Amino acid sequence: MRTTNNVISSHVLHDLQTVAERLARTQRKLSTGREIGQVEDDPVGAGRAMFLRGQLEDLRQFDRNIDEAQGWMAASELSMSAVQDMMKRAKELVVQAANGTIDQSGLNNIAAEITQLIGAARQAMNGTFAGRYVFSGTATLAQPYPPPGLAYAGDANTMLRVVGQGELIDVNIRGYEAFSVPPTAAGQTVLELLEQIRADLVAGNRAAIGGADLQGIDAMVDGLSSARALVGARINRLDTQQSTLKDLALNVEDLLSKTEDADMAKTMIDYSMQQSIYESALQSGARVMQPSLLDFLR
Amino acid sequence: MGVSTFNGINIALRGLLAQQRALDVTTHNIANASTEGYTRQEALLQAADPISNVSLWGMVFPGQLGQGVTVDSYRRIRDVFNDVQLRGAASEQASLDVRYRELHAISLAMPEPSDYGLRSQLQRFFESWHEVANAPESLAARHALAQSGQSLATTFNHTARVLADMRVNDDAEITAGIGEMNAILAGVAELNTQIGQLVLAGAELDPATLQIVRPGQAPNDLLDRRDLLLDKLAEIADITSVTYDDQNRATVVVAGLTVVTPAAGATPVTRAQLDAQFASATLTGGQLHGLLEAHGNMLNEANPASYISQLNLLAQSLHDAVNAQHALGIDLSGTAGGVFFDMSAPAGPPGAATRLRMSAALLATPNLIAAGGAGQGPGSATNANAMIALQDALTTGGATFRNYYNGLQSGLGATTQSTQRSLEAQGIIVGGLADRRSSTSDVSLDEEMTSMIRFQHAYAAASRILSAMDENLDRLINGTGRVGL
Repeated sequence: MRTTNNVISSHVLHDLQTVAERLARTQRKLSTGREIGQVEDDPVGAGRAMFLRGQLEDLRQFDRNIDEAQGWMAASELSMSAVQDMMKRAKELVVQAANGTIDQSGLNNIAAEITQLIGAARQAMNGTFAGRYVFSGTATLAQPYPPPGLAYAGDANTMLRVVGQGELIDVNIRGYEAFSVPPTAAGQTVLELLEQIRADLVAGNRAAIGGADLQGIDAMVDGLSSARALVGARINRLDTQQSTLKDLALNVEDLLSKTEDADMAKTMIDYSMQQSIYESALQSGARVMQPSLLDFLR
Repeated sequence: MGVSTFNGINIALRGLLAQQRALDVTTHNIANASTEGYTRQEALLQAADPISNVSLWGMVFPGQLGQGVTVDSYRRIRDVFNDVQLRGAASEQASLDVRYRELHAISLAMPEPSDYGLRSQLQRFFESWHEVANAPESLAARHALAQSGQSLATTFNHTARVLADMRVNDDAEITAGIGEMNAILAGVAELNTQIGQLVLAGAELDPATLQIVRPGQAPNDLLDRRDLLLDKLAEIADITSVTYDDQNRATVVVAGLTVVTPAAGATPVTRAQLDAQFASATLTGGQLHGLLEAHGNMLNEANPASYISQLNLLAQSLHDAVNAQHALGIDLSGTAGGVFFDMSAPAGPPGAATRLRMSAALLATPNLIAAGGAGQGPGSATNANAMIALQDALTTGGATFRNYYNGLQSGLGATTQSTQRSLEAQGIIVGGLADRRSSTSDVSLDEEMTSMIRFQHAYAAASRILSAMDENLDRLINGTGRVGL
């Protein structure tokens, strides 16, 4: 093939541009640490990376939701255990009162302590998490047991949290589920029971104190125990869910990194190889373009 | 009868003149070594008509006596078949080049993978719903959600505007391209006239048909200029055919339209004609093809497969699904939810992606965000949870929002990548053909130097012969009859 000066120079230029472009692309991989700078670099890989990143962000969000739900349930649990302790104290007092050796003034003193317990229980039952009443159903901005009433004032709605894709978990214990016997909105509340005990104490109704009141307390403690067991089970489930999510997130992160991140060692080697190719292309280009017959004619 | 004493001088003169012309051509070549579109030329030397000296008395002479050299013609060294191939390949390359540029620009308008792109904004939007679900009473979470909705809508708007601007720009480029093409056509028609006249001047005609049998002058440099114009034309739009008549005047057919004829000259191409040729797939190459492809297909809101239409579909689905769900919930004060995304402007172009707005009322008063379920208290996140479930619902053309968007991106990426690969492959084809043309038609300085030395030597030798003859004549005229002096 007849080769002319123009062909040589345009070839040299074209080759230099190709090598320089390749060099720039590798350099970009090195500086960003990413294999895929744009979708067009690897459409399939980029599609997968976008999917994985969405998944990873979902998992992190679920993790935050679980933290939040755990906090909510821990607050509920705290209140319930406090009320249970109070019920135990109330049982001691009631057993003491049922014992025939205490006179009416002694009963009145016990009644005074029960009044204190009513106040303390109300405070615990109006427990909050981040300024929201945990036992109110969804009416979280109002107290479930507002004074001076003794009945449940919240609603019957459950509160669901998303803790996995399409996975919802009930986080709230409605007040009556823990603090009423039977556990319905119509059941007797802790406050009502204590008030009844107090009234029986003041009236000196020992038969009721030793009978219905004592049984009421036992039933109430049973109810609280099962509600606490329920919350405990949920907390456990969330713990399991959270560690599963963390494992999953690690896997996804690993996969994402494999898809998206540049192999630094390989990229570095590529870079130095391309650099030496570029330099030799420059050198040979400079040599081949310079001479012509003119240089040798006198 | 003998041959004239001075015949040799004449032969030497012809030699001198011919070598001079050949050297002139070499000079012309060297001068134009880097002229775009220049084709190297050479002087075709031919032995001059010899003398057939037939005597009256039938004396036999040795034969015809050579009379030196003349320049028969100046030849332009060019491969016409290669031109046709190169122009076809260059048209395809120009179209691919524009298409790649446009696709790349579209990708840049929707940058992915990125922490700020539409994918991220969609994700943030639903994450904000999660946060509202975690604390529906919290004004802070509601404010954050309203802002996420706002930036999602703004991202849609911005992307749609960039794509719309690109389309407007393409329109301007098409107009400019047509203008350039029409100027080239006028140039070709003008050159046709000049070339025709020169070929006709001194041409030998067939007496019966009046067709040119042997052309007159060879207008090499004008032919170069016309070929260069045709090369440029091929980059703007694909050339269907170029045919030449006996006067070497070209009839040019571009994208199926006969645009230059020897008789009628140039016929300017209009936008409407070009659109029709594009629609009927008769326009298949050149920048205009790439631009019309971008303008009519990739960026056209009226084309359901275009990227802007896909974006519009996504925005519309988001608007419809979110608003429908929002209306089912109640806000903090227990009132049913109103409009979440506002698209109150009339339907039709501009599309949904341009018109999507976050409701101003919700932005100002985030308490109006309907996160709760009907009949429930302020702590209810029933509707927020339903909103979160939309993220995994098949809302958009049988896919979830993000899968649809991922699909859009993957499709765009794959098209961009394959266009880039075709462009690279086409570059190699065009490069090869251009090399072949260069190899045939380009000036090689080494070769011209060699020719120069050849002609220089021939010229010097002819001069030396002239001197020898001069000496001979001097001897004859001044020395004859002076014996002994």
